Amino acid sequence: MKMNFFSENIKVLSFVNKVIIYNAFPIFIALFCISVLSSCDDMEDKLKPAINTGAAEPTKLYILSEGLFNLNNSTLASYDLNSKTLITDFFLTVNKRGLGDTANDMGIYGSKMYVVVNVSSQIEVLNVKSGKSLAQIAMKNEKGIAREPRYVEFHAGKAYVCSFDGTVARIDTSTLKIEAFVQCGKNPDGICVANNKLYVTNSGGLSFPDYDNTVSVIDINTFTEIQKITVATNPGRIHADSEGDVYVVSRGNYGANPYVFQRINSNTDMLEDTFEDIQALNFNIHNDTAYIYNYDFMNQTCWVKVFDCKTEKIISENFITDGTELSTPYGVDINPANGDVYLTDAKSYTVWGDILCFDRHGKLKFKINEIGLNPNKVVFVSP
Amino acid sequence: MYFSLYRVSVFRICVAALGIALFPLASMAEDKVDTTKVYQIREVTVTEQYRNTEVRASAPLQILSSKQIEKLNALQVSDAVKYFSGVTVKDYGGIGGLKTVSVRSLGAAHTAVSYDGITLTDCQTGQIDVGRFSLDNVDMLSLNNGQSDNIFQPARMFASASLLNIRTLSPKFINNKTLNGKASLKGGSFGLLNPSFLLQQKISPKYAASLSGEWLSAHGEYPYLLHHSYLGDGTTSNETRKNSDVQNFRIEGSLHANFSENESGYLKAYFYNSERGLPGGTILYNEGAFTSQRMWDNTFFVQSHYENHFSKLLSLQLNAKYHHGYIHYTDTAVLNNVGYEESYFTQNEYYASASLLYKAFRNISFSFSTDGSVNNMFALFENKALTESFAQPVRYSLLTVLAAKYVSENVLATASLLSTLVTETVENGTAADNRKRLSPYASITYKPFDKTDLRFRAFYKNIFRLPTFNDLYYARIGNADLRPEITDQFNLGITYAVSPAKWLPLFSITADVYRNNVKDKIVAMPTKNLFKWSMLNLGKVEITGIDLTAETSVKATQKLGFVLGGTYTYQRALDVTSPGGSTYGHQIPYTPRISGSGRFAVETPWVDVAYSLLWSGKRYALFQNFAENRLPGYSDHSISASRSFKLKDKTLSVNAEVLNLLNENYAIVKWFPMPGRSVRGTVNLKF
Repeated sequence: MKMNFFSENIKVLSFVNKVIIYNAFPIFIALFCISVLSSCDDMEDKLKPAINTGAAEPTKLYILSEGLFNLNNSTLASYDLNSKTLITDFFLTVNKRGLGDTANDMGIYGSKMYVVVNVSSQIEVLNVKSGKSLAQIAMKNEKGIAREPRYVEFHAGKAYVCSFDGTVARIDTSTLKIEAFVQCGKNPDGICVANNKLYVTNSGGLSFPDYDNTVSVIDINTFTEIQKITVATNPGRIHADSEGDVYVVSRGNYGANPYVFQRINSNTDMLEDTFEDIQALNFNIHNDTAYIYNYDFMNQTCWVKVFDCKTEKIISENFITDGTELSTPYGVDINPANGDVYLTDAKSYTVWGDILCFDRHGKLKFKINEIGLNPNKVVFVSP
Repeated sequence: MYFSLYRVSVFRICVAALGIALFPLASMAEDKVDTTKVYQIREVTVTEQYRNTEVRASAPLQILSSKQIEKLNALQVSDAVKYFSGVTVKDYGGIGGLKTVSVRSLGAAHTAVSYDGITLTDCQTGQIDVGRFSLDNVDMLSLNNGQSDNIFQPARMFASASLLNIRTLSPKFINNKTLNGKASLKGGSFGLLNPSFLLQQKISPKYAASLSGEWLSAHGEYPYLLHHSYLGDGTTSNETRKNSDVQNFRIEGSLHANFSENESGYLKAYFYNSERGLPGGTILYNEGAFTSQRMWDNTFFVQSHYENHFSKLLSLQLNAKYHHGYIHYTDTAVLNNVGYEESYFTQNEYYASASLLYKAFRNISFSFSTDGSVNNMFALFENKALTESFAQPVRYSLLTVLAAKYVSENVLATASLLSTLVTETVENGTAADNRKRLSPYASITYKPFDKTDLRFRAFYKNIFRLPTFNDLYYARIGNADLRPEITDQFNLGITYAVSPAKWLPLFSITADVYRNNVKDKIVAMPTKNLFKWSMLNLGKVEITGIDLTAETSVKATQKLGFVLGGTYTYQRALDVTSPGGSTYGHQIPYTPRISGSGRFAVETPWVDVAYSLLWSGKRYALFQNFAENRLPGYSDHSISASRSFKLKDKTLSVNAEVLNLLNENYAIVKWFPMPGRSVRGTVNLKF
């Protein structure tokens, strides 16, 4: 029973597609005329030169694979970029035990790495260099019931973890103790920091079909929720750019409401843009460039687009320029030092997936096959 | 709750109607002259005779008599079924854990289960939990690969890739007895307590009644060793299985009638009620995770059977059944907006069947059977929107089979053609398309030498299974576009039996090689993230295997005897869905390449000792045969000692068993540990 909880209905989705096709015919004709005329415009936005963000060139990657629900087979792989050596069971090898069930997210802060293990309900804190576990922070409530942590974000010596039970925990990164909780909305499924505030997406995904549609704004200093911003149904991943714009993906109800990409201004905490034409499932931002992908479950097709957060426009409809095939994108991360884009491919979700590294121009640099079951996150380790 | 009350009253009416519908036939026959005074079951219960039936079958047939079952250290039907060759029982551990039977790697949904000659159906899940059936009043278990050589059966008995038959004890009175009875009490590790009774009363020369019941309770909190690694190594901790309790209650009664030598029937009612914890898989670092799920269920059915052998040439049988299933599921620790999940599922089946057997020639007989059934399902969820959008499917099925059988001294051959018509309606959403299919079957066995009991046999069967209501309509995962899952089975075998000497009354072996193909296999696939799965026709499996069985009995002296039996199975069950894919040529999940069982019993005047063994090679939990997905092989040894005492006209027996003698820590389903060493004792009084 439990495996079905985060539910979308594939049948309803097909119904929606039909409605779109039947009602949109005149619009298609209009679009066709416009596209013929505009095809004469051979001018395209130029990519920005690579900016030295000050990040040191990484020598090692850690790749997290969440495994399959109830199989306790989340894995952490390490890949040495110089020697090209891969250890798929890195965490197990170092710690003589597995990560647990459904590791969702991880992040590096200082010399420590934080792995969020959703179903095991633990935050696994590792020494970045050695991979040795320093602490396991149990995310359980007073009654011992799992909070089910989802994502982690860092700010000023603290780690912030949002959990499905509707809370954000503040963890001190030196003592590794949970200091406080703040209540937000239903089943948070994304967190980011902008303007000294935390933005947490309230998905309500466990209450299918009664999804939530808000983003909680939490003041970091007082650690209290100061506002709920209404967005489209079922918000998920959320990231901020350098200008204080917060971008958020809403995954809709898999019925009448499709996926949609949105922008919140963190100065006003208003939803300022809804990009109806960008039906995004997931994205990530680096250097004010967002890499956005979609996966269409009906047709098993996907796209990866590039969006400029300054001009707020799509600058490339097809990020992948060399014809490299990607079947089921499942995570996107960017090397902070050189802007390389890492896309993970979950394939059928029941077999080990791959990781593909592209340069900024969408050309494949390398691919590692069968790195783990449902790879979802890559982090970059500098010496 | 109104919902379930409503259902209850409806089924009561139906039960009454069913009884009324069938008994006029019986009472009409009552006035005929009655010659048989003794209630006899057709096949004698002696092991050797059953073994003869097995070696004569044109398609593999395996039988366990109640006497053999007693020596298997088995409590539930699922425990005994593990001793059949070619069978994989998916056992989630503990008395209350789900146990389903897959035969020759075709998957549990391809195994039909019949109870006293009428199949059990579960349209919701498509599989029967054989852990729910007690062995207490079981007379015989048998397993047909393909189908039985008996062509005079309801059409549904032809409609599956394999068939597990559960036959309960029917009344049998010797001398002038008019009452038989049995009372037993079992107790054992993990809080097991299981009292049961059986009564058989002769009412008149024509009628006899039987009543049996039991209650079973266990807390099921068994210890196990937890490895903190999917590779099965690394650090460990000692844990206790939690939320594994079960209480169940069963009562069944039947009325048997032998109207004349040629005419008989029965009416049977069965009720089963249980409450159990659903422990779920062990979750590392969150062992308390799945202690919040519980399930209550009720099963009620009433079935009746009537047969009349009008003449040497023509016979008729009628069967009917009403089945009501109810499941209530709760999870009290869900992070949704109400903090819990609750579902109620109700299923009803209305079934009627008629079969004719006509012996057209001395060697050839024909049969014609037709079965009609209506199955429906209702659901109620904690979430109003989910309830309102539930499909409420109704499935109407019409199965018709025409079969022929040829028997001579040296040859037995059967052939059948089954036609299936299915149509479904739903209240919400889209119903699955209508389905029409023809399914052929043929089998032959040939005995080349008159004096030697050596036979060659072969069968071919093409059959399918329908998508289940869950596959098609489940609110969160269903896909109404699913097609049936189709199987082809080819089998070639040799059987040999001999009784060379008085001290060696039986030695027999059977060996079969087989090739099964499964196409359009229905598999679950996550279709968004890992919490959201849907069903797709996406699999092709090629299974090549060997099944061996052997049995021998030795009579060392008049009072000292041995029985030795064993099975061995080798199967290459390979995924061949997409050539070049990362699972192409890998063994499908939860299917060992090699597995087997062994039985050894010693009968002495003082004590009977029985030893039984189950073993299995490694298996994989997922499609990729990677070490990370591996489950190691295991062996499970059990031993028992029993003794009977005669007390006037009563027999008292005591039995003590040690299960999993070597305390092996293993799992059949990954992260669902099986119990370690445990004990069980039984006291049994027969009168």
